[in-house]
Amino acid sequence: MKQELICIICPRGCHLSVEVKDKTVTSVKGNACPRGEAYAKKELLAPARTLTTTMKVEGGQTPLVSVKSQGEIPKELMICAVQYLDTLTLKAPVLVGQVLVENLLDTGIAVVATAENLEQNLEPVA
Amino acid sequence: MREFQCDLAIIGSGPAGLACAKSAAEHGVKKIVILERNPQSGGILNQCIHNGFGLSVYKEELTGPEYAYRALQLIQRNFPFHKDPDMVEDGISLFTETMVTYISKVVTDIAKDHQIQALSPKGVLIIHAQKVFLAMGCRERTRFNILTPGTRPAGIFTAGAIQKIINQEGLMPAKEAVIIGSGDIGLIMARRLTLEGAKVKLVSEILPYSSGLTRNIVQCLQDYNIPLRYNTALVDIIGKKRVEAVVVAPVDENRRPDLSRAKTITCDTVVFSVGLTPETDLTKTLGLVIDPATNGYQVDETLQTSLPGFYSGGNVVHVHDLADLVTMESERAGAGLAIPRVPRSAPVYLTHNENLRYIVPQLLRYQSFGPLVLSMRSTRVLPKATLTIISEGQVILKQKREHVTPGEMLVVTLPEVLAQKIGNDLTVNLDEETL
Repeated sequence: MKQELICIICPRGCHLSVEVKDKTVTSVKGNACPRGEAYAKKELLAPARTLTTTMKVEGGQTPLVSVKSQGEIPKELMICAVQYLDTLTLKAPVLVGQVLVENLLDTGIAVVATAENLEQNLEPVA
Repeated sequence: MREFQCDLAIIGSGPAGLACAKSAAEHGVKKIVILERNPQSGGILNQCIHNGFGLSVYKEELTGPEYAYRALQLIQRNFPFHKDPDMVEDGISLFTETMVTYISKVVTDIAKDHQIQALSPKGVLIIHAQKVFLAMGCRERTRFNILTPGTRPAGIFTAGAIQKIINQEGLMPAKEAVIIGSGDIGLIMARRLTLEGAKVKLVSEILPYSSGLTRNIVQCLQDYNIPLRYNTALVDIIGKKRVEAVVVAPVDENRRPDLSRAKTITCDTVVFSVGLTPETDLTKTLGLVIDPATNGYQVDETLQTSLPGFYSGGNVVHVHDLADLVTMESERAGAGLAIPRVPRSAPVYLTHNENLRYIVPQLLRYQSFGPLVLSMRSTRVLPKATLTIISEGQVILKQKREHVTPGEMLVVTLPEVLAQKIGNDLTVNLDEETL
């Protein structure tokens, strides 16, 4: 069976043509780089995405800090993960790259800050 | 009132401003001042919490805030850096919460003195700059730009405004939303609204294609089963205090809606993602030439505007689809303003055929110096196309391109050996290849 996919690894958006036989990918065409082939295999068998969202911060310069999953999580967990993270409140200061949740919904993937949110009365670095 | 002298004043500290500062400093510009109206540098990157930034420049996938952080770090690590200093010294000085209100040019026999007037928490600031880099970015078009009829209740936002409200202010203003326009920010906000618990009932696009990146249609809409309708126009907004519904209708090839097939969709929020336009208001009194195709400054290959000493880069020149392209363009500007070049006897104005909407730079003022980068956008979708660069009847470069769409900028780099072949004219043609 032949399936058409658009690679979302980078903004180039290669149009992939994928051959699938017995639940395995037998050929991938149209990819400009090897990441396209890996994407096609994964997308058809176990789709996953990096989650980016925000978390509440108490005592910070702003009410939130932006965060991301430090790897991909199963696509179907995206909404659950945001709902869960929205229930948590962090304490300032939060630094870039700081691990905020070690194991997001038992995926084994951590959630890290993508921005800093220092304590309210301190001058930010920049 | 405080008054400072500097070699280069940069207005705006988004990706364009930061990249130009770094590049100018690398090329020997001593005293650089960056003026930023927000408390933090980074510009709009700070509210773009999604990933996909930095693949070309940083060779990894970053979120907007991480991209802004890296760009600032590159400056802090490599050059003397001063934040909100009391006086301007060598290195890069960043003034935050400082809003430029007026720029004037004073050109006397003795000196070129560009004066920048700004307001800061410590009062009025006057900056005397040898050179100015304009990096104000762009602004969103609103419902009024597309002449949307209907009432004016609460619940109508531009995509960037609702992005700021959700991602930075921590408020959730929507339960059921309809998104008008399928630009990247609209697609990204469709996903964001869905993740935060709203129902996005429709993304409505008047054109037969999306101006957003294909990857965003996949990972923002298809992933969440959000419907996208092409050739569909918003014809009414209904609601008194709060939005209650929108009316959409299919359009014909002249973009005229067929009201007999109109559909009412109940919702409490309408989000407009109907394009961006360069934010050039600040320099209106200076009379810089604006390219009607981009609505941004007309620039030469050094990114100099029509006014000597004034350079520009990023979304205030033309709206880019990737921050990386803004960074690379502004780095070229930093070099362009620092390195003296030999002028041509007469400028070469670039021309193109009907399949291209614009080319930046619009003109070449100097003799060939290093590779020449041309950025352009097509007027329509071309599945297979040939790009030809011609000067004085000679073909300099011919390239095949696939999946050309107006939503993805085309960038062509002419290596120095080819750039040297440019004579007294330069034409770029994009032609459809028929199978």
